[in-house]
Amino acid sequence: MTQDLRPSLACALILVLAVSQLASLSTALGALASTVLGGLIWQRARLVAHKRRLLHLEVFLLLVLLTLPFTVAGTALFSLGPLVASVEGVARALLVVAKISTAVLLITLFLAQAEPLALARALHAAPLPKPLLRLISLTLRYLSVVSDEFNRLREAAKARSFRPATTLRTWRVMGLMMGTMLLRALSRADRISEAMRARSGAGHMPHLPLPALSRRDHLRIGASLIGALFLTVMDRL
Amino acid sequence: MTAPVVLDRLSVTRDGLPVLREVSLTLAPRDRLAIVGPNGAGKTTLLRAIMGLQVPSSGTVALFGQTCTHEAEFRSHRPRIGFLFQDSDDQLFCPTVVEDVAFGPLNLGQSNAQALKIARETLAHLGIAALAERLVHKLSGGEKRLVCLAGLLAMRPQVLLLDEPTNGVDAENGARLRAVLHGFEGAMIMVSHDDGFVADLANRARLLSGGCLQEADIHDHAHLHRHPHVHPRMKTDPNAG
Ligand SMILES: Nc1ncnc2c1ncn2[C@@H]1O[C@H](COP(=O)(O)OP(=O)(O)OP(=O)(O)O)[C@@H](O)[C@H]1O
Ligand SMILES: [Mg+2]
Repeated sequence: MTQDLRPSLACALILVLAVSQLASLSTALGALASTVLGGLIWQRARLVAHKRRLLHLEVFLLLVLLTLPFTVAGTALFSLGPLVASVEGVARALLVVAKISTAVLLITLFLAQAEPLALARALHAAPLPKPLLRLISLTLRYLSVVSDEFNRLREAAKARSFRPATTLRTWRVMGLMMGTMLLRALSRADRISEAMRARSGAGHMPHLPLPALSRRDHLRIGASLIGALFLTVMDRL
Repeated sequence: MTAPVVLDRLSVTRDGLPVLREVSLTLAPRDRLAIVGPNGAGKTTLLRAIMGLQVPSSGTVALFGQTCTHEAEFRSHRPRIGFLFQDSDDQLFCPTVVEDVAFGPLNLGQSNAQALKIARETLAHLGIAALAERLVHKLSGGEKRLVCLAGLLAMRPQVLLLDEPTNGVDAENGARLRAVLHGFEGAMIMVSHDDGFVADLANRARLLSGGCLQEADIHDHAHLHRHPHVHPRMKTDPNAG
């Protein structure tokens, strides 16, 4: 049986929503600090395991930090040639960086370890449009079929002594492979929809039932709600 | 009883090329018909035409006594016809085995819980109850084949159209598959390159070649023939190297 991710999903959603609405820099920095602290205390292993992924994000955020100050008008802080960085811009950049970092940390802490299937199951409980859920579940099912197909193509090319290099021919071969993949995917999609019709499919998918939420799950969700409320109140004060 | 499937001078073209030419066929309620023929002969196309997935250029398909031309007419008969696709990955589109088998019963108006119950019973009937919670994409080819069949049988069809059912199935699972199909009450059309399977299950055969169906015999005489076999090596034999 796969794990029940509904509580984690609910907690992450509640907290991320609250963080996304923050407007004051001090609250956002406070939220970031407490998330880091909480993570280090309770989920140290998880943070370490996803260190690389988090670092990738921080590099992107550095870009925001470097460019945003120059695009917001306000009191000048310093200038680089014709570009003027404003105090408001720096504050805005820090706010954005703090909020995004907190949100990603929260998602990492609650959901990074999740099996894709468990996540899809939990999403079924969320009020999401059915076509989106079907898309997620079909992606889960066929991702490995498509990647196996691609690996077989690559191995077949390798078996016939094809070695990728930075030549025009390599690009052409890669293009052919991509085209082949696309055509196969399209005709597979046709056959899948035929298989659904053959079994009288009308868009409904069966799903394994999930157990009822436990007291502990309710407590976790309650704690997240209180945390979210606290952040929102602090932000408005 | 009316014949579940009657094809009358059915012709099909694919991409402008004729694949089936004026094929006629009657499948009686307990018929077990084998269709054999070389690759590309149009066997899969024939089964698709019976399901209404392939539009014919001329001729008719009649299912359970009703001539079907429109999608709606085919749709009303599909619950009673199980079609095993040649490629299992086309047919198994749910993440787990039990959910996939429950897909058909759910479409027939069962509740989610009932559908899952029927699915588990069907898997047990096929002797693969242990696969229920497994992820479909982690099954072996032979396991997938059995799960596909379970998905059809869960709908209690009266006709099975089997496109290479033994493809990728080992001897043990093959025996299981045959036992289940022997116990199936309805009519069956099987497309297979597996002579042993055809000789065991079919009561008549047709050869599809050049777009036409011809009468064919199933060889059932005991002629002495040689064929290679693979046996496990006897470990207890002291002389074995
Ligand atoms: N998707 C398609 N689009 C166009 N033509 C097709 C398509 N699939 C098959 N054909 C053509 O239709 C003809 C019959 O194909 P079909 O798949 O019915 O053969 P088959 O008897 O099932 O062969 P096999 O034993 O290889 O499964 C072939 O000549 C093939 O080229
Ligand atoms: Mg075929």
